[in-house]
Amino acid sequence: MTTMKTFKALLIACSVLILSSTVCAFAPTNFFPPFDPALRLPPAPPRDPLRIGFNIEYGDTKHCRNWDGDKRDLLQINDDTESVIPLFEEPVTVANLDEFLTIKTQLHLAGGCSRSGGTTGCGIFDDGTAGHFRLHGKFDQLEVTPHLRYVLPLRLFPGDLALSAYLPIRHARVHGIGAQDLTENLLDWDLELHELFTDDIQSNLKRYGNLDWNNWSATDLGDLVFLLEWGKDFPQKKDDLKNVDLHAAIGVSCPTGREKDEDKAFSLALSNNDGAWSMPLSIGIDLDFKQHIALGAEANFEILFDHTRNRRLKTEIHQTEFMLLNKGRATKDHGLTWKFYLYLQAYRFWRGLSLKAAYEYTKHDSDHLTPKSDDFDSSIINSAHSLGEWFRHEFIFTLNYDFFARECRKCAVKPQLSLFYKLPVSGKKIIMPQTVGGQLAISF
Amino acid sequence: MVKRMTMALALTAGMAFTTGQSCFATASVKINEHLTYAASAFTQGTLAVPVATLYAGADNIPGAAVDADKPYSLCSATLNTSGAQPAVALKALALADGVTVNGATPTVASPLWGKQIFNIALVNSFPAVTVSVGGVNDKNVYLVTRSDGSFIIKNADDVTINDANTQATNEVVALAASDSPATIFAAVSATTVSWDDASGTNRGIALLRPASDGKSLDVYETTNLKNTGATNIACKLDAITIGGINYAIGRGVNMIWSSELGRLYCGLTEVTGKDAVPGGVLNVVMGRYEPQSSPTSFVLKPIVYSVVAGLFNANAADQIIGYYASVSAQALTATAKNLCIMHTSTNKYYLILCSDIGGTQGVFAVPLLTGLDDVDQNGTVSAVNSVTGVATFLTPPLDVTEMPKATQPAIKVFSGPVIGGDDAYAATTTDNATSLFVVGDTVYLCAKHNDHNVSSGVFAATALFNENGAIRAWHYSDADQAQPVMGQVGQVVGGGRDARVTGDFYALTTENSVVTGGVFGDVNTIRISHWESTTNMGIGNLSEVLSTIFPATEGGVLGLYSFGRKTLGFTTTDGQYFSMLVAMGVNKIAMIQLVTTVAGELVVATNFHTSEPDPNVFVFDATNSPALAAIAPLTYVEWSRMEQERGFRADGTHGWLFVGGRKGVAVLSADDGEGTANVVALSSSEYPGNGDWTFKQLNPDVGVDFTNVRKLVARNERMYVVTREHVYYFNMNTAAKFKTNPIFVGATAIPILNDPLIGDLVVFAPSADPADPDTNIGVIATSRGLYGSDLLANTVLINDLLINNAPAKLAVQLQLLSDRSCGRQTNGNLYALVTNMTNDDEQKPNDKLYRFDVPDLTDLNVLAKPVVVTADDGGKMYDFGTYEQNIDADGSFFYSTLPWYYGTLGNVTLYLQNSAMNSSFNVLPLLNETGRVTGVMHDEATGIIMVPGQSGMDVNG
Repeated sequence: MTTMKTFKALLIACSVLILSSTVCAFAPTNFFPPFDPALRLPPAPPRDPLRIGFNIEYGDTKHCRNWDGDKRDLLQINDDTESVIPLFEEPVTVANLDEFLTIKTQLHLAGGCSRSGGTTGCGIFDDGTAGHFRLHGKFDQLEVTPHLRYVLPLRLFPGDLALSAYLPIRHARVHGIGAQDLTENLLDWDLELHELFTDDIQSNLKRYGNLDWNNWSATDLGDLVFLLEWGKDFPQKKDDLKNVDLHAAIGVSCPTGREKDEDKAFSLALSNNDGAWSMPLSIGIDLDFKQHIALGAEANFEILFDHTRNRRLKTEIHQTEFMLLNKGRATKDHGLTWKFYLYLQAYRFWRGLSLKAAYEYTKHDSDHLTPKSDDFDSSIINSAHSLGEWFRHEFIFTLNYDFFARECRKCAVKPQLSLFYKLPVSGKKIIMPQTVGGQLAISF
Repeated sequence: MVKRMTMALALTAGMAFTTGQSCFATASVKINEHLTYAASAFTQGTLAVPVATLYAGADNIPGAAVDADKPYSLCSATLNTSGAQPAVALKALALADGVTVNGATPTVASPLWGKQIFNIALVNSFPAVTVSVGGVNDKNVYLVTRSDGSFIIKNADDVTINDANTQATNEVVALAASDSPATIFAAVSATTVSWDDASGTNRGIALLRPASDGKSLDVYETTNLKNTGATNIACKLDAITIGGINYAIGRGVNMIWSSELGRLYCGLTEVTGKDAVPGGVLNVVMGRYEPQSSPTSFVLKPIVYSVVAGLFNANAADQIIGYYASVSAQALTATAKNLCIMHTSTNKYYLILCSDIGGTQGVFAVPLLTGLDDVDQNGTVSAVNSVTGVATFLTPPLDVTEMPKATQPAIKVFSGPVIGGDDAYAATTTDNATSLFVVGDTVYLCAKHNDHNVSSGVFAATALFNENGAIRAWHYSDADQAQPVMGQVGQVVGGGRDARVTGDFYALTTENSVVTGGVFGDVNTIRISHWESTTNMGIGNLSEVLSTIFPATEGGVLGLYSFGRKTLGFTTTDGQYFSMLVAMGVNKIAMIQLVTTVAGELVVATNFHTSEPDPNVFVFDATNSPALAAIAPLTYVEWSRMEQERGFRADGTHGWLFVGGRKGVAVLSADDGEGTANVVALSSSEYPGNGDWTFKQLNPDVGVDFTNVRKLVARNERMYVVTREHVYYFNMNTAAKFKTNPIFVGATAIPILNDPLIGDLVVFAPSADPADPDTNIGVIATSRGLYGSDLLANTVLINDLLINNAPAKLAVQLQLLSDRSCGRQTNGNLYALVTNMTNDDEQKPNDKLYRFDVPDLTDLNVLAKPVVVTADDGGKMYDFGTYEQNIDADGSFFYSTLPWYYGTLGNVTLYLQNSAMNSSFNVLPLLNETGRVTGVMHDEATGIIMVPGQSGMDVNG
């Protein structure tokens, strides 16, 4: 155990030192998972079966793509505004309940009373501004993923088998939080809402829901991933096509990463899958042509397993997701994540230098929560936008240099270096900054 | 003040639309220049096509009438809302040609063309009519079976409608109809003589049904319900005498069929003994099918089961449905008119009628038995409490003490002198009560009084229920003000109210809606109310004025309060009329004179303005009133409601306007604290516009907190200040409290157990006349239930509003339907809007409506009793299923408003107050499309329904 802790600390320190990291969020980000095809390095010579290295990726943004695919401020990813008034409907696990219900009653009684032959407006009702907050903030993430790959000396069937392991180390922040209270200062019920709740929103969320609206940051391990890869070349004797490479992979992602802190509204899960086990699968083809041109395509799937834990849950359909006071145990049935990757590469067109342009489309189907308590209604908790599908389209430009192609052809240790730039094009319900990163690996 | 209606008829198309505008709150059309109308019938349409329609039948065809007028002898009117402004779409049904009669080639003129239509009954929404020419009634019945009037069926030419002796009748005098099976009940005279001819004892009720091919009306034998053509026979009219005497009868007959009861009620007029011998008569008989007999027959029975002389006080004229005279049956006469059936929301049945027994006149509710094992008793009169008239619904009356009487509060809907609603110009005979209709728990009276506005129009009385759901009294049946509805619409001879789609009123009225020294003119106009701004309805500029004074950017109209004519502190002089509205914004109020006196007549204003000359709108706002600025946002407005020349205010200068707000209470007074004398008018040279009147913030005692005011209630020289946490009171016993730099008000807190939050307060006094304010009694709605309070030191929990054993809910609002108007209530029904503020198993936002009865003030512990309809409802009337802001109730509907619902527009919803509580609909005034709706209120002076909100005000009146 001690050894493990020491190893973990070393990895974290290393990641900070070399300014690298990665993350997963309250909403998904476009950071690469460790096994992303865009991060696959060209194979090292067969006599060097072991490769170690790390990936690094960094990005920051103030924006997101919301559930409709529109560009919004970062914290408007699930709801345009956060709404106070629905909080008062069906409080289940709210702390200081009597006091909370008194506020609810006072808000309902704000204003005058009607009589026979007379009418007076009263009570606070959600008109789209009363009790609404517009949030903004910034997000940045640094991810370093040490990895290890070993080509197995087995020949059970044609092609090569390799075993890979990845352990991301992530540092992420949501900071610069701003909350604009949209409640007007005109009518009696508006003033009452200010006085009773919104003027001290942070304290009230903490008092009644133990919910923290402060900045958040964390540095920790992500999910450990093991991958078994198979690949085989099929040399071609055609005029243009020189080789066809087929490859496939299957693996497992172990939830070693930190789950989302449910008491911090803007916290992210450092675990890729927020605590769930998953099984990534992929199959692809690479075509090598004359003139150092390569084309490739890959399909990638990740099957996530159900995961049960305490979560912030809606008790009323209009509640918003950064302002949920009620917690309950629920099982998340994850949707399938699937990805299509296409690239065109100028392969080692000058010594070991390669240049690649790739397009990647990633989609995750809707998740579904099953409450473990009668306090929560399945249809209501599943109305959360955060459970909806997400996708992204992006281009990745990679510059890669394989030192073993020329300079280190006969070296005992054969390094590879890669740099990339990721350009998001469009997406839905996702934080997708432009990111930059790279890889460094040695084979021996 | 009120513009005359102008209109245009599109005779060639058979349609007519308004092109002008006039009276307050109605779309209207003059049907015809030459014809006058007396008969009418209103239908909701069918379930599939719920188009409300008012049919009108011509009363006479004068010589001035030309052929172009004659199609309008029978016409129908609906509301057309497709144009820029609502208008009445009119359709002539008595076509000049192209009419098919009993399937014949359509080349003839309608048999209704140019005829007097003196009776209309509806068969599945189609009009069945009888006609008359030159005062001679026709012997046939006509049923219009196409909505354009082009297809008519009648009894076949070779089949006469016979009397009770199989001889051809001489005249058909009245109709009623049922939908299923489609049946027309026709009151027919004996052969060769008129209905009222003393020798015509074979008068009776004939049955007609459409033939199987739909091309004619078959006339049935009532003895066996067989269609035997020429041998048809009517059911003989008897069962109306006590003691087997001979009787005489008048010409008027009025009938109503109740499909729910399976009973026909036949109202007779001028029934009296024919001979000077002891005996009595009834003015209502009941018809029903007799399935127990073989073959099934149709029979007529007395409306009182086992009627005997002992059920009547000898020679008394107060027993509504008949009399018994110990010496001569000729001593009295009995008349029943305008029969209606009320099926209450508490699932009780009443026969509503205008009755005149020897000059004792009025509109009455006679309770009917239902659901008894002895079917002979069902549909007959129920025994009642000898004092109150509250029905037992268990047995028929066994003696005179159990018979309903005209003076009993449960029975008297409108008493004779108040038909029309004003002491000075009361309609004093049932002739002035032209028609009745019932919607929900409310009876509407159509009234005409020659040449006086205040006694003409449509008036409403709503049933007040006891804890068992029986009617125990009537809302505003008292002698000093009947409640008008629909605004000023002139003399009214018939009408109805749309209960399915809009809640609109329909009325057949006079050409002029208002008179000021002239005459109303002929009855030839149909007026229909609708939900609109006053501008769109063409009824004045009040909506526009309000939206200007209270711009939407400042929240619009946040409160609207009517102070009706009978408000204490307003003029009580005969022939003087005054009422006002006070509109409230976030930091300003507008005092608006709604009712004024013109040439001795009550006139509802339509031109509202703040500028000279003669402004009738006076605005006080925070910019010129530091007191209003100090207490804003404003939350409530109340008048001092103090009677003239009483107590320390013997000079009558006790008219103060109070305004509550988030930060206190302010009063409109002179610098020395004095109020105004009895108000006759709002004026720029006197009250409140001459500069002498300013708002001053009240200065309560130390320890008294006038912040977060929810309501102000004035009663008997005492003002109650309801804040969110407390109820205070102070006496309005010295002007010094209200002067500049005032002394302490001297407010006292009323202790309430468990320190609940306060929703509402309704104050009752033991009599309408001001008494010792210490005798006031209150019902307080709180977050811990309903409390009864002596409003001094004692407050007791009387109902904690349990639902499924869940803890107390919040009673947000109490809506009162009371015995007296304008805040002078001594008892009433309370409609409580209750919302769930707890965290129990009913966590959904499902506000509920409860109904309580406050019959008297004798015991705080049982002050408000749930009106129970089913065994375990605890008084609960309705589950809204969501939060509601406000409720209002007029007995026909209860109204709820939801200003917003999570960013989407809310609505105004009308819930039909019937036994099933299964009908509701949204009305979406234009106001609702542009902002928050404040609530619904009924103006006390005009009955116009007003919906203020962020963008001004919409109305239905």
